Amino acid sequence: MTDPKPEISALKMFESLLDKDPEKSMGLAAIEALLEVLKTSTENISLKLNSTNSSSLSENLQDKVTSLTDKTSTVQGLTKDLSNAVDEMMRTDRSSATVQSACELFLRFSSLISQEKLIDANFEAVKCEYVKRGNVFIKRIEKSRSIIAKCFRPFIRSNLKVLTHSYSKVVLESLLESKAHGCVFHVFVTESQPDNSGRRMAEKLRQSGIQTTLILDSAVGYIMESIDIVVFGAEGVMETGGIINKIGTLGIAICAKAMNKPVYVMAESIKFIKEYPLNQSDTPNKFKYRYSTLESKKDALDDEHPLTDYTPPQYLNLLITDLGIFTPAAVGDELIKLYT
Amino acid sequence: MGKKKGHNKPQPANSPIAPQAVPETPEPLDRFQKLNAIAEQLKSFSPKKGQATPPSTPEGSNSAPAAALPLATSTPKAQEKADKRPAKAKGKPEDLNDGDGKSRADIENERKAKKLEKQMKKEAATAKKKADAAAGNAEKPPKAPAKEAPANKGQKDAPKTPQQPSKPALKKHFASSDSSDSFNMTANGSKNVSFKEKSNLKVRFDIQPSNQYDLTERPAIRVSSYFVHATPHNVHPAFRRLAAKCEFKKLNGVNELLLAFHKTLIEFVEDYNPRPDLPFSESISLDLQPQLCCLSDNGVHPFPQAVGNLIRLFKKQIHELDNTKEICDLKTYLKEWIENSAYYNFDLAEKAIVEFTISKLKSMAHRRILTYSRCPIVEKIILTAAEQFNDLHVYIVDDPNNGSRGKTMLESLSEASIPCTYGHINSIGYLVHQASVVLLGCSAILNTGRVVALRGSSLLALSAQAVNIPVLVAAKTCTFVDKVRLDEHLSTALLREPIETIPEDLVTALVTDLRIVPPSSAPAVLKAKQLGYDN
Repeated sequence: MTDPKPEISALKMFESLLDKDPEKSMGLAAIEALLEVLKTSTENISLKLNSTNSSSLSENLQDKVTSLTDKTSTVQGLTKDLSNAVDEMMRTDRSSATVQSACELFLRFSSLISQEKLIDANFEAVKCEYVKRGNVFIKRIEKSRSIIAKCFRPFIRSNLKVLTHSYSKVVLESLLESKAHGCVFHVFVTESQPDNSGRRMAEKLRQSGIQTTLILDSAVGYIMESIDIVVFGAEGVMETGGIINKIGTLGIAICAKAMNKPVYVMAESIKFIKEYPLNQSDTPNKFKYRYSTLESKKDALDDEHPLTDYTPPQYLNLLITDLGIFTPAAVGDELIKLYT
Repeated sequence: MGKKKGHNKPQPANSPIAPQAVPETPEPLDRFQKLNAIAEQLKSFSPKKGQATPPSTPEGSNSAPAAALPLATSTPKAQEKADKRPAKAKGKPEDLNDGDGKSRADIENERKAKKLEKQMKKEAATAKKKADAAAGNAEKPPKAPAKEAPANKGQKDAPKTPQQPSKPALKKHFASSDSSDSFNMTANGSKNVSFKEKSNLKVRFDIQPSNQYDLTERPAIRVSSYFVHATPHNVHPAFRRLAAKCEFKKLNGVNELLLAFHKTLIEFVEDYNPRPDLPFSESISLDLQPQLCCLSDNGVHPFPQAVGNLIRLFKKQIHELDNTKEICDLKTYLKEWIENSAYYNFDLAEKAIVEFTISKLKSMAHRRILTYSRCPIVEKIILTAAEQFNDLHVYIVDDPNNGSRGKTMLESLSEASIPCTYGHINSIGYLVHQASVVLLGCSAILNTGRVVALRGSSLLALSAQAVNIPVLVAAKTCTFVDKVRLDEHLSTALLREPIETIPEDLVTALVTDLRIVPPSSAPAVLKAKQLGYDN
């Protein structure tokens, strides 16, 4: 007789995963946390099945078990659990755009079970299907960064000057891969205040032997004429084809457009969000500010500095994703495909 | 060429136009001479103020009675002529008679004399022309084809068209004697005047910014669809009522037209009795053809895009009917389909569009909406939004040349106590700085994402881009068409409003009933819709 497992807090799981491996993709961590939630509800079911066989079950325990299993004995109950978990994870101070998109896509993918299997009406089987599909999804996502890096390689030639903004793991991986394949290029990284994350990026790049220069955020206009390509990561890709990224991205993109420099965005497909902002003020606040800020200063947001900005699609040339290389206009179609 | 400029023919008080003069001439006239007689009448008839005019023709009206020629006052050339005789223009009919001291009979005689004179001149001219044919005299040939062409084409059967004299069109048709419109003209008999007489008209308007978007002015496309004779017997009165309503501008805009078209189709299906020898679907599609031909003038004028979509889908439904069922079952099925289509494309679609737009308006700090003329969906959006938001302000830009429909919108919004500002299109530069979002309606969306809308809408989109405010277009999915280009200057069959296309890079988003889409995703919406229909 085993005790029922304590309920897994999705947020705690998410945070612990990221703490263990800081280089892990945030979306990936969110999805893995969700999968754990899914699995634990499955185990409770099998727990029930085991315990009913045993006749010497104390009443308390039996009640507890049944109460647990009652909670997750329907698909609706399961969906509710998962969405609660997602809401919990959104209360993170990390990028909530990524968390939201990743979770929504994961849930949609997992619940896309064929009709025949649903007719079986055996809830445990259904849940196993969910877990299986969840694992498939995670495997695909784990590879997404390397796929993007491969797609990006033809864009880097030798003696190229690349400008990037703030710290993006995808961009880092792509640049490292290009270096590993023998390209010699020079990277300019903006400092990216207020959290100075550009400094971390510059250090990592230098460690692998790439020639790097850290520049002030305000020096972008000055340096742009000598730059060849501009590369960004993204926290979220919108239905318009525009992106949400660290504050300052829009300014760099406009400058690049004015000087006819190509702008490339690297984003995994789990970052596609089903929102349609028309301009900066139309972007939802949950993407702009951290959760803690939103909670504490609900009414006085005007004084808060937003952490992200929205870059409209007309300033972007191409989006490099694990689903392929797209123009911003094509993102809308891809999103429709993903979300239906 | 004879110049008759100096001749001032006074008019008897109640001189009706053409028909009276012609029957009085005793000679057996061939058609061409008849025309000359009428032309003479027309030339001598001058529009004077206070003169009695055929009462059934209001000035500037589009619809004219077939028999009597409408007033020449509606055309600029006639105005010119009137201006040339200022003294007479102010005179009253009685004054005229007194001034000249001629009686009616005298005038008739004068006319006959003139006519004979002219005839003789013409005969001389033709003789001369034949003589000079080899020499290739430049003056004569232009006259000759004009004479011959109408004589030939006058024999043809002319479909019934609303008739208006448009003198600029005369020169055009002279140039293109093959134009199919010319035979329309000669059937009236009034317009094909020999150009000897009309040489005193100096000014040529080839492209006229006319408010009257009438069928006869525009070059017509000869579509190779088969010619079906639309007679009173095979055209259901509901369709003719629809055409009449459009004619009299009772239906404004594509939305109202579509709704009316749905009702018309339902009436048609209800009253329809299938032919005994054919299965139901074949017989109804055969009998649908003359109805549509009557409306579109045998394919000469294309239907507006959204209506075309509906017709195509309706025909598809007819094709897929199961002919083994009972006729009344089939009819009920068709009627239900039409009603469903109306429900989905109007009630539900509009609700969805309103919801999506309001969700966008919610996140705005200042809700100052700029809109153009009157679109019923935009009106609905604003009325619903006003219930939720307090700080709404609407700027309505209107086109005074095209019916000033914005005024209707202004009235309905003011009744709902929404603060509005109204301006003409020339105030767009000022108004666009006040607004924070532009909301437009449309009549169709093309494959590339271009928006087909009322003429003037692109000015709003362009100005909005210049001041960096978003442009939202409310587009129902039933108005998406699989076309890349639209011939904008051609008038459509039922709806005569002037339209234009807005380039896709000026539009921020299309608000459809499926979702908010960037204009570049128009083909995706089309595909989704078609898949929906296939199911």
